[in-house]
Amino acid sequence: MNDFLSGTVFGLCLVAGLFFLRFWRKTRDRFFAFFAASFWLMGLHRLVLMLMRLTDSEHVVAAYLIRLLSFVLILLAIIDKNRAAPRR
Amino acid sequence: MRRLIAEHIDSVEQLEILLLLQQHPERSWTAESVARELRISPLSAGDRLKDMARSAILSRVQGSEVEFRYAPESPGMAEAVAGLATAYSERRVTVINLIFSKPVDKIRTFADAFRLRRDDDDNG
Amino acid sequence: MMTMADAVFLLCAATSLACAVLLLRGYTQNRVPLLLWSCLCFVGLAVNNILLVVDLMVIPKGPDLTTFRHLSALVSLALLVFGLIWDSE
Repeated sequence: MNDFLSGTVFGLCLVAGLFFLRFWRKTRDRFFAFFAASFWLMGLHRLVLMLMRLTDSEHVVAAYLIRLLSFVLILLAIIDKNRAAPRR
Repeated sequence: MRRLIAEHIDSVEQLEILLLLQQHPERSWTAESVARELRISPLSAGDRLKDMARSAILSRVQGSEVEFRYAPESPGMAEAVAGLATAYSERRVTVINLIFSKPVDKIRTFADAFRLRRDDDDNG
Repeated sequence: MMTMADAVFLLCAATSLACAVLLLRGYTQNRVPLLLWSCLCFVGLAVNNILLVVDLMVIPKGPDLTTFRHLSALVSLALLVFGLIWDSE
């Protein structure tokens, strides 16, 4: 059951990432590129967790670093948006 | 013409700039001269000019980084811009509504929601 | 290592909450439903991160919250993707 849920989340992350990729293409706003990358990393995080579940916990920490990176990307997107904005 | 709006025109400001340049195809414009003519901010005028140069409605004057000229990439595009100019003078509200109902605006509001400062919305 | 992992999840939760707040503010200003859906998504992701902290750090010996964690992530992403499909065109 948990694997099924996690797999579904993985798929939804990829779809959300694709949407943001398209927004990026449409608006040429880097902001969406950050978001697309972030959601794909979220998906990757799920995948890595799944693959590494049976190995030692050291790797699980590594997997959570991917999650950290995905949220850092969102932070970067917000910072970038606010640095770029005043010039407009 | 609807396609022109859907693909290239994101704001009334941008439309005004495009039509200004289209009316004076022989003249080259800078962000400053456009801004003076339309009484808008030179910074946003510059951004719009660069946007349109990228989507091949305008071109940069050769050897100059700051000068732009009306240069639609195809006769079809020129025709569409001319049609848009007529429509904008005859049915202004319809054209403005078309611009504002674009899906890209929803996407923009998404990105704009992450702006912490709001002042840049008011002085444009 | 525990404390660092703690900090990571709390940072993730804080980021999600910040996004949720910004999107909610955007929604109250523009009334674009897409912003509401994505706001709910980030609320869900914040809950997801907080559950993770609770499950792994605060009460590691307590009941297994794995299913709830997955469910919160699933609901969040489902809301976001629904919003993207329903309201981005």
